[in-house]
Amino acid sequence: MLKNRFLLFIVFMFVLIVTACSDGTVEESSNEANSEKEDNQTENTQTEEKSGGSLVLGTTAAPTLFNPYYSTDTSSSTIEGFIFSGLVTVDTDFNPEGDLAESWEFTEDGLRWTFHLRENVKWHDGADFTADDVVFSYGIPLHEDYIGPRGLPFEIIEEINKVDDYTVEFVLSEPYAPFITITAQFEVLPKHILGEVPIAELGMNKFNTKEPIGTGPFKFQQWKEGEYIELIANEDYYLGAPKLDSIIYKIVPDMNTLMAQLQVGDINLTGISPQYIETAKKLEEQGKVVVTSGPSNAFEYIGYNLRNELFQDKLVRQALTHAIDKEAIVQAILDGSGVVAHGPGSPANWAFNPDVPKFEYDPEEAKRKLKEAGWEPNKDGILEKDGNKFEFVLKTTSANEIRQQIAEVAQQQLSEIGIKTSIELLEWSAYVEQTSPPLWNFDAIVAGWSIGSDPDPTWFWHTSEIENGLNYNGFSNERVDELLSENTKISDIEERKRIIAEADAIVAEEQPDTFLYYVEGSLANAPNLHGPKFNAANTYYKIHEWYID
Amino acid sequence: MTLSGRNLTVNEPLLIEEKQEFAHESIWKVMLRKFLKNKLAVIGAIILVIIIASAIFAPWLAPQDPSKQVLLDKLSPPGEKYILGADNLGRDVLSRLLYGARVSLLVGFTSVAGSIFIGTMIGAIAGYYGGKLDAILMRFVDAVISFPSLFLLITLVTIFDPSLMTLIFVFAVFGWTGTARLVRGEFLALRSSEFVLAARTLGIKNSRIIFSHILPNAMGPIIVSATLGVGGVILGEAALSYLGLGIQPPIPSWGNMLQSAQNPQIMLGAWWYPLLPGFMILITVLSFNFVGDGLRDAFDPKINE
Amino acid sequence: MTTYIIRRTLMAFPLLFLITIISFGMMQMAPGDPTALMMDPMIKQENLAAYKEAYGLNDNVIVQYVRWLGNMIQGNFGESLIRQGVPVSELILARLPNTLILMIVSSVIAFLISIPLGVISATKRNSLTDYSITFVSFLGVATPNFWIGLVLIMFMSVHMGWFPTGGVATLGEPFSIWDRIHHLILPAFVLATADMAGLTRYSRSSMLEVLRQDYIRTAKANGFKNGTVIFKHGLRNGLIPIITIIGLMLPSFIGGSVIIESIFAWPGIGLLFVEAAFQRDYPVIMAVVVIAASLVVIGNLIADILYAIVDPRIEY
Repeated sequence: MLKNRFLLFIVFMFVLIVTACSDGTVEESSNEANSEKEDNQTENTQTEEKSGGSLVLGTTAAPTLFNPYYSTDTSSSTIEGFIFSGLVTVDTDFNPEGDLAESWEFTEDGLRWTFHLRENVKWHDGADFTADDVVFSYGIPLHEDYIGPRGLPFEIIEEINKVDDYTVEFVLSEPYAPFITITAQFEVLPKHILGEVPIAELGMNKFNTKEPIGTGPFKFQQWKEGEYIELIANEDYYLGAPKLDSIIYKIVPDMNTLMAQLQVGDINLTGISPQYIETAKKLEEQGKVVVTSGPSNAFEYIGYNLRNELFQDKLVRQALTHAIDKEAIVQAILDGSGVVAHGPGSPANWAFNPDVPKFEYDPEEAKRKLKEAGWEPNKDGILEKDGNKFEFVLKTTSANEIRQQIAEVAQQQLSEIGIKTSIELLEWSAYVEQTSPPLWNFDAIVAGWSIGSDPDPTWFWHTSEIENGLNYNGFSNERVDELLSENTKISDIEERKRIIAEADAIVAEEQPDTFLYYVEGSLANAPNLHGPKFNAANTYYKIHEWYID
Repeated sequence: MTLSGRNLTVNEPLLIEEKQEFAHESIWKVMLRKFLKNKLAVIGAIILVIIIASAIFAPWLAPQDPSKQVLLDKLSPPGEKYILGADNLGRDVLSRLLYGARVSLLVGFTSVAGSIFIGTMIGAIAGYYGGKLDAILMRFVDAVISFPSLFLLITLVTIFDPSLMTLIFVFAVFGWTGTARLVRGEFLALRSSEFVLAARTLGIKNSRIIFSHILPNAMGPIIVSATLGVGGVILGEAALSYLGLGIQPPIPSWGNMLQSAQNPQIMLGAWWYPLLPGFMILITVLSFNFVGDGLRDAFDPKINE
Repeated sequence: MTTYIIRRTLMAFPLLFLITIISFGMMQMAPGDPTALMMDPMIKQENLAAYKEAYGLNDNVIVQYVRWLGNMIQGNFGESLIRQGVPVSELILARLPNTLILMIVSSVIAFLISIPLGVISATKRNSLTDYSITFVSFLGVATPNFWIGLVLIMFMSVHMGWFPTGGVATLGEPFSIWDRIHHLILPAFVLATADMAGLTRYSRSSMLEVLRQDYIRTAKANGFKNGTVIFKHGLRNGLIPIITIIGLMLPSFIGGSVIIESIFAWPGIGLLFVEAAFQRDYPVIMAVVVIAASLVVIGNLIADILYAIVDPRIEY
C-alpha cells in the first residue's frame, strides 16, 4: 500500500525536532563485520562488545534534504540526527542532556542563557568546532533573507553572542521554557563551509543534499536516488566511535514489501504502524524480530469546527463524544495499539494530565444531552432543532487508512443516536489546503497531533493561534489563554505541569475535539541488533553504542 | 495498471483494412452463430448476466446492510453468521461484494458510455469530414493518447476530489481516444463507399448520413471497444485504489475492498477477504474480455466459420 | 518514404507542445501546493509567503508556464521544490535507466511468452489448447497488478525465498549481472502480465491472417510439412506487424510502472511521479510527464516508420 508512505507526513504533522519518531528502522545489510577498528574510545567504559555491521533502517518515505533549518519531514530529521549534533539533546524521557554543549546556565529572569561548549570536537572534514559555528547556525532563521519553515522557535532570540571560542550566550526577549528542549536542540552547521553562502540561497545549497558535513556519530557517504542513503561511522565522534560500521537508510515505498523485507532480514530495524502490529508480533513469535512498544507523543481526535453553529454548544460536543466508542476503535482498528484518550496531551511526556473530565461511551447519555441542547429526533429518527437536521461532513485524508476507518466507524456510531454524517476523503495536499487557515472549510475532521519535545500546548488552543496557527477548531477560552501564555514563561517544571494540567482539564471539559486515543508506537528490529528500544522522546538515543552480534 | 483492453481496440484498425457490405438481416444471424461458436465468449456472457443481475438486485440479495459494522466480528471467517466472512471493520463481505458490484459496474458502464459517446463524435467528425479538421482532431487524440494513462488519471483525480462522479468523469474523458481512432478509421473507409456517395448526391444532410447511414455500419467495432473498455475501467479503478485515489470508502467497490485487504496479517490470516474481491474483479474483467473477443470475431467478416 | 519520416518526426513537436500545455494547465488546477508538506507549528507566516514568492508559486499561470517552457527548451527542467536545489534532470537521469530496463525486459518477457502462445493458438484454432491459452493469457490482464505483485512477493520471495523482496540490487554487494537479473525477474514479469493477453491475441490473429495467405496454402499443397511452413514462412511474415505494436504498448507499460515500482521498491520514474504528484512538486511532475509522453510519441513514431518500411501496401 503506497498509501502508507504518506502516513508519516500525517501522523506526525507536528514534526518533532528531535529525531524521535517511530518510523526509524534499521537493517543489517551485509554481515561482513570488519571489526578492524579498535576500541579507541576513551570516555566510554564499554567492555569487549562486538562491533561492526550495518544498521539497515527501512522506511516508506524518502527524505528531502539534510539541513534542519529547511527540512520538515521525519525521514530527513532522522538522518540529520545522525549526521549533525545540537547544543543539547533529550534523553528517553525528554530531559535535556548536553550534546555539543557540556553544560549551560541561565539567569533567574530566564532571559540570558550561557552554553559552555565541548572542546576538541571536530567536523567530519577535520576542522575544529567552535562558538562561531553556533552563532552562525542559530542566526540563520533570524536572518531577514531566511526562507524556511523554522522561524518561530527562534523568534524570542534577541542576541547571540560569542563569549569566547567555547562559550556562547543567548539573550531572549522574554522567558521561554521550551527554549532548551526545542530551540537549543537545533543542530549546528559548519560556518567554515556555509559562512559565505547568502542566506537566501542556503536552502538550495548542494551541501544539503550532496555533501553534508556535521559533528554527529555518522558521516554522509552517498545518496542513491530512490534507493537508500548510506552513512558511515565517524571514528572521531566525540562520545566515542560508533560500533556500527554504517547506517543504511533504505526506502521501501510499500509497507507490505517493507514487512516482507523485515521478515527475510533485508532490513533490520523499522517502525511499525498499528495496522502492521499483529504481523510484527507474529514475526516476533517466530523469533525473527524483537518488537518494542510504548506511548508515542501524539493523540488522535475528531476535531469540530467551532465556527459552525452545530458545534457551538459545549453540551452537543460532549454528547458527540459520548456517542463514540473509543475502546472499540482502539481494539478493532488499532489492534489494541493505543490508549483511550479523554483530553489532549500524551502520556509519553511529563506534562500529561490523566485527571480530566471524562465523557465515556454512553449513547443514552448522548441522546439526553442532545435533548437538553434542544435536539429531538424527527420521524425518521434524525435529530432536528428548529427544523434543521443534525447532519455534517466528516473530512479526513485518504493518505491515512486508520483515520479513514475511524471516520467510517464514527459515521455508524453517530447514526445510532440520530446524527447523519457523510465522509469526505481528500488527498493530502488538498486536505491541508481545505482545513487550514485561511479556509477552514470543514465541519469536522479526523486528525491527530504529534507533540514536540516540549509539551507546550499553546499551538493548539491559544486564541492567538486561530488566525494563522494550528488552532483550526477556532477554540477560544480566556482562562486557557491566560494559563498557556503563562506556561512558557515558567522554568519550574512542577509549576508548569500544574498550569498545563489545568489548561488541559478545561479543554477536556469543553471538548472542542472528541479526543480518541493516545497513539502507541512500535519498533521492530532483528534479534541480533542491540540498542533500539521504542521511546517517544529520542528513538536513536546513544546510537553510537548500538551494535550487531 | 492494465488498460491493454484499450490497446487491443486501438490496434484493431491495422487488421481490419477493408469492410464489406452485407445485408443487415443476415449479418446479425451470422454473427450470432459465430459468437455462439466461441465457447469462452458464451461462458463470459453468462457470467456477466449473472453478475449484472446480482448487482441490480443487490438490495434484495444482500443478507445484511453493507455498511453495518460489528467491530467485534472483525475478520470473521466464512460461516453461518457471515456467509463469506466479515471484513476488517466487521461488515458482511458478501453484502459488500454485491453492493461493490453495483459501484464497480456503475463506474465501468457509465464512464464507458461517456467515452464511447465522445470518441464516436470526434471520430465520426474527423473521419467523415477529413482534411484539416481531421488533422487537428487527430493530433489532439495523439496528445491525449500519449499521456501514460495512469499518470493522467492520478493528476486528474488529485485535481478533483476522488468522488464517484469524478472517477466516472475522469475515466470517460481519458478513455475515448481508442474509440475515436477506431470510428474515424471506419468512417474514412465508409465515406467513399457507394451508398454514402449515393446518399450525398441525393442531397441528404451530412448529420443524417453520419448517424443513419455510416454509424450503423461502424457499430460492430464500437460495441467491441465498449465491452473491453468496461473491464479496463474496473481494473483502472482498482489500480487507483492502490494509490488511495479510487472509489473512496465507505462506498464499497471491488477495488477498494481488495486494497483494504492488502496487509500480510489479512492476506495470511484471513485469506478469503482479499481473495473474494480479487476474484470478482478477475472473473468480471475476464468475462468482458472474452465477450469482447467473441464479438470481435463475430463482427469480423474475414473470419469465416 | 524519407519525406514521410521527416514529416512524421516534425509532427511530434507540436504534439509534445500540446501535451505540456495540457499537463501544466491540469497541474495548476490541482488544489494545494508544495507548502502543504510544511505543515508545521514552527513556520512563520512571513517565511511561508517568502517561500511562495521565491519559488514563483504566486505568479500568474501563464507567466509560470512560459518561464517553464523557456527553460525546458534549453534543456533545463528546473529544480525540485521539495528536494530544494536538486536539479530535476538529475533525479530523472538517476531513475530513468531503471524504468527503461524494467520496460525492456518486461516487453522481452511478454514477447517471448506471448508470441509462441499466439502461434500455437492460431494453428490449433478453436481447440482446447486454443481456449486454454486464451484463458491463461487473459488471467494476467484481468487481475489487478498490485495484487499479483504482493502475492508473488509473499509467496515467491518470503515463503519460498527464490527471489529478492524488491530493489534493483543486493545492498552492499559488488555489481553483478546475475544479481541484477535476479532482482528484475519478478517486477518485469508482473508488468508483462498486463500486456500478454493483448500480444497473444494479436499474434494469434496475425498468424491466422498469414495462414490464410495463398503462398502458405501453396506451400502446404506442395507437400511442405506443417511445422516448417508455419515457422519458415508464416511466422516471419506474421511477426513483422507485431513488432510494430510495441509503440502502442508503451503507455500501459509506463502507467503500469507506477504501481510495479512502488510494490517492488524499484527506483524508477513512475515512483518519482507519484511522490511528486502527492507533494505537488510541479517541476518534477512536468518533467516526468514530458519524458513519459516523449517516450510514447517516439515509440509510436518508430512503430509507424517500421510499419511503413515493412508494409509496402501503405502509401503516403
